[in-house]
Amino acid sequence: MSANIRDVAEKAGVSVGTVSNVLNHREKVSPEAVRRVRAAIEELGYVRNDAARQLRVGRSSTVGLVVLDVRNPFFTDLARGAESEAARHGLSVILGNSDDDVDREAGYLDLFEEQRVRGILISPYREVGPHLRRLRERGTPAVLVDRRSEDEQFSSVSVDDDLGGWLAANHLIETGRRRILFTGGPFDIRQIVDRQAGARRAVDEADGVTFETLPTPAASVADGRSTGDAIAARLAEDRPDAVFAANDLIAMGVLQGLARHGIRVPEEIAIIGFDDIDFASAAVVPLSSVRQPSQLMGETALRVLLAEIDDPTSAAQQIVFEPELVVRASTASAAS
Amino acid sequence: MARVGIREVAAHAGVAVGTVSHYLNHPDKVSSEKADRIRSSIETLGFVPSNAGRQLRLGISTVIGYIAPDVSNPYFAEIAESVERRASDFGVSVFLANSHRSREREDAYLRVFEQHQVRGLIVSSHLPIEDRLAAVRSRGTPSVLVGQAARSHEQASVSLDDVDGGRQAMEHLLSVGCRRIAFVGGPLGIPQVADRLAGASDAVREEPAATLEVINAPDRTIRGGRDVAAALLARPVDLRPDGIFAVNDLLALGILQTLVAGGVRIPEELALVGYDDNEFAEASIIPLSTVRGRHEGFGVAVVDLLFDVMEDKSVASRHRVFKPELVARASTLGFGAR
Repeated sequence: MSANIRDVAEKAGVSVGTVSNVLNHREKVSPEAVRRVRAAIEELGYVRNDAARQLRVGRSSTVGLVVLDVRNPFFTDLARGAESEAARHGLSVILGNSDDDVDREAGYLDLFEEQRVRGILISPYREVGPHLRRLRERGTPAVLVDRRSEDEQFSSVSVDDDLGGWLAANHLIETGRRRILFTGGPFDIRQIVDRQAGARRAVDEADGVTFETLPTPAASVADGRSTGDAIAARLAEDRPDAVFAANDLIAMGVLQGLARHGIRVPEEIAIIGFDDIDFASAAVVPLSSVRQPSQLMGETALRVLLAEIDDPTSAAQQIVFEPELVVRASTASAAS
Repeated sequence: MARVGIREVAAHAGVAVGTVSHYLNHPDKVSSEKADRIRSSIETLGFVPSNAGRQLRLGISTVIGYIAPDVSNPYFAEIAESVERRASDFGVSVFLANSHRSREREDAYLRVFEQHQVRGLIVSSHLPIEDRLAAVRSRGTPSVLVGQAARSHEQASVSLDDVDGGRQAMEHLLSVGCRRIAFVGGPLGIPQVADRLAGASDAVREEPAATLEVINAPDRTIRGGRDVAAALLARPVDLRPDGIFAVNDLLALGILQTLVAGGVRIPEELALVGYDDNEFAEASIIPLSTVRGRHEGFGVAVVDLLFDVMEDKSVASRHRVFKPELVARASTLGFGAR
């Protein structure tokens, strides 16, 4: 049976109220009483029951973060940014991985709400659902990350994915590529739709460039490998001369898939990814990419969330970072 | 604004508070007519059943926690994913937390999860942690230590035989012909690092012509690897090692990238082995030889063991140790060729 606050009080020879004051960092307790209470807590192994405390006080010192894919370093870098900012404010971040699944996303939102988290950061799958909206109405602030909000009630911190897609495709066109293949998925993720739309715009602005899309079920290295295999299975003249992958994981998979079939990158096919994760520069052929400031996005999102916690009536903010083209060997011009 | 409570729901539905409570915990035992009324009141009022409150009464939760030193390392992200997949078979969700290799953050998350009353904890750590887990366990939260073998009998753990893995990496470098070998990793107080070095040292001792230099690299990231390689490039060529065993793939990938950029021919002049076989090892500039710790059954073993200890089942052993396996690729094969 675990010790409770009465046991601590008895052991320390003080009143229950004094123990409570020590636990809640009130200043009216004498240093000697604080010392005795701390010693008793240590000796008895007393843990303050946060769940019980939260029922009274209302909120925990935890922020919930829901990401689409914990295996994508982009999201873990973003989490790192949010965590370091949270630590500066004495908060902890707990992470849920929705894994591109709308039910799992809803499950995490319920759990976070039931745990009375201080607020939620979320990279939503599909649109902002009724779940998230209800949760906010009931008093848990939420900020979208990596995704601009269509619902202007929600603040968001994102990167301009459409511009990023345009930068990637425009770079391929400027380096002489004419048959561009976009690969990625699932298409109910807004970021992927926007990157494709931006790429298509760049193609439409150019002359004599074709554009096709090869959807993937998810956005992993394995999905990219399947795309690589599918391209290799075509007759050489039917292959694209450039691939724009919706993220770096897919791009690295395409690179592996093509290499497996002896197709040379960038001589025969150029590849560009998105995110600029750490591994992109260490790939077989160092990978060109579109950089998102992932850690900074995480830090910024946490700051926006804190502002909403402090003042729930404040107007929602839409913060959009500009992506940046990073050119490496995988898109070197075919002619050179 | 006051939260809607169970009393408000009862009043709105015109039933007793006890009936609402019954509905929340044993929906099958409430008449369907009352259940419908309660459900519609819950919907109308926006009532959230407080799990925290329910947990206080029932002492159960549907969440387990996983604390990892750094989820950005694909090695831990892969464990997290396989753990989640298995946990969802049991209808249990997983909360993840990053300790960033800080003792302070690790303690904070142990506290957070304990206070949130998770059913059990999965913990990967590079720090001595068994005493702290024992304290948490004695207060009612069981745990499985992942990635290092527990020393006490009571602490459940799932780990790799890192001594054997270190020996395999070193034997492989020796077998391709390396003789001036560097071990890159740190700090040596970390059990996983110390074990890999111990295995490597054993293997080197069996080859009298070989020497082993230990390069301390406490920042076990791609960036840390780049720094080590930059220092090696600054040495005269004849003082550089001809073989490197990096204690994880992140370090190895950083080393590889910087050495290649600096004009070192890999594997002809220098052979390189990593550890973990993460998703990127095979796709690196030069496909990386490494020691594979990943097993299909790893996540399943972790979750199943946690459920065994949560249910207090008597199990033959609370310690599972997997055997690692060397994967030879281009970064070592072909050493010494011109």
